[in-house]
Amino acid sequence: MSFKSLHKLTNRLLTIAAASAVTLGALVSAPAQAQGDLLVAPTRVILDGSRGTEVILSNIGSEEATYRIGLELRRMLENGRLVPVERTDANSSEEAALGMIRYAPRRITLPPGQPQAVRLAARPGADLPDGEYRVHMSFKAIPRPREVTASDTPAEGVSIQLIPIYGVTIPIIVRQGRVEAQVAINQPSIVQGESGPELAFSLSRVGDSSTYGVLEVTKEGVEEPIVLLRGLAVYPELDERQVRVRLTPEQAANFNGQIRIEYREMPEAGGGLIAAVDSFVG
Amino acid sequence: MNKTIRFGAAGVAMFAALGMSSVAHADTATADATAEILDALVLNNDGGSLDFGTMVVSGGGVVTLAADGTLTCADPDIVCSGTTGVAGFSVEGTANKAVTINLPTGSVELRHPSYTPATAAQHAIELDTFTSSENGGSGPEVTLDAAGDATFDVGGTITLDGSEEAGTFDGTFDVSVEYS
Repeated sequence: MSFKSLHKLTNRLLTIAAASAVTLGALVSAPAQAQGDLLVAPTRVILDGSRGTEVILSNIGSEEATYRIGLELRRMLENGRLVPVERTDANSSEEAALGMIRYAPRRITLPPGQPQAVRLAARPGADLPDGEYRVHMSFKAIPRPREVTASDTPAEGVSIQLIPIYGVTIPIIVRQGRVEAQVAINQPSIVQGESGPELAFSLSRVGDSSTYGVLEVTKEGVEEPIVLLRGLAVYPELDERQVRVRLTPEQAANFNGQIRIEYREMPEAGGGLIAAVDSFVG
Repeated sequence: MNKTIRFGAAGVAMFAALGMSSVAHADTATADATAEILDALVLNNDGGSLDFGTMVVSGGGVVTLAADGTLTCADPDIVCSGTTGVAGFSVEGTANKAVTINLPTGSVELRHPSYTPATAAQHAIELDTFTSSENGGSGPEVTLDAAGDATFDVGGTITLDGSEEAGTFDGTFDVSVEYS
């Protein structure tokens, strides 16, 4: 599909979405006085060929806003947090990832309600080793310089004007060659967290690829999953990821006897089973 | 290429299946660019800026505005007045997903309009210890609910040395919602 037709498709999607009061309508027309509110779709991009794709950025605020689009590095810690990594601290894989992603534009000024596509593609070098390479694309509003009015300046005393520069990052993943991963679920248990019981387990991972999917805890005789966690990622920099899920008292009460924990790919990606374990947790 | 448009069961998100990609097997020879998971991710700053109100400063001390909105202004040389407010954000995205929030880990400098490097003592205020109302086991993190919604508030602590000149001190701080 060409960029142009994809752009038309996504624009149409956004138009449909904006017209739908039930679904995205509520999301787009949420009260937003702030300048710089934003919508980004998709929330994750995988590039495994030479052709590019697009990410849609939409100004859902009530004023014109300028956004900066950049590439940043994040690493996942064992506890699942994504922490920023300075470019000067990049390892060879992260440097390669930064070097191969092409994207445009890098700065967009949008009136309220207006979407625009950011085109991106990977240009991996011919001698790039097989593997998974990743950067995080950031979308951030640039605040307009604010006019200080007389009423803002107190005759006496100190006041503070602290403006958040806020934005989102989404992963851009490049898969070079054939990459695989295997994951196992280990040692599920109930532990006491700061604010009550938590389900704790670890995901151990081997291979060159990340995994991404849905984690479901089910029990025979209980219709709905006891725990449902979507969009759970384990990135290649991790051999093992710890997961803690806070439980409501109702959820915790169901943790007796045999339960089944399944980690599956997202339904959109086929829903294939990545890992499962049957365990007694109590 | 097969194009489908459908809405998520929770009504949160827009999906456009532009192609499927297997996590386990991705082969350069056969696959093209695929965009997976076209949920939308939305970030709104619906709670405005971080506002410590007005402080009359006659000596050093700290003022803390907790993420739940509680103001701690206990030093006798600082008198706090006026309306205070935390910076509030709302996130909309994938239902039941835990999302990292990154706040500044160092300090942020706020400057008086008359700031020059030589007058930094009376024209600069340090703000640090940013805190979030939503936290995971090891830092700011928010879990989107079954409808894909979440909110979080950000507070902070300012340190005054007592020599600050009256006026409005300006500054910015970064708030980043990190999707995995």
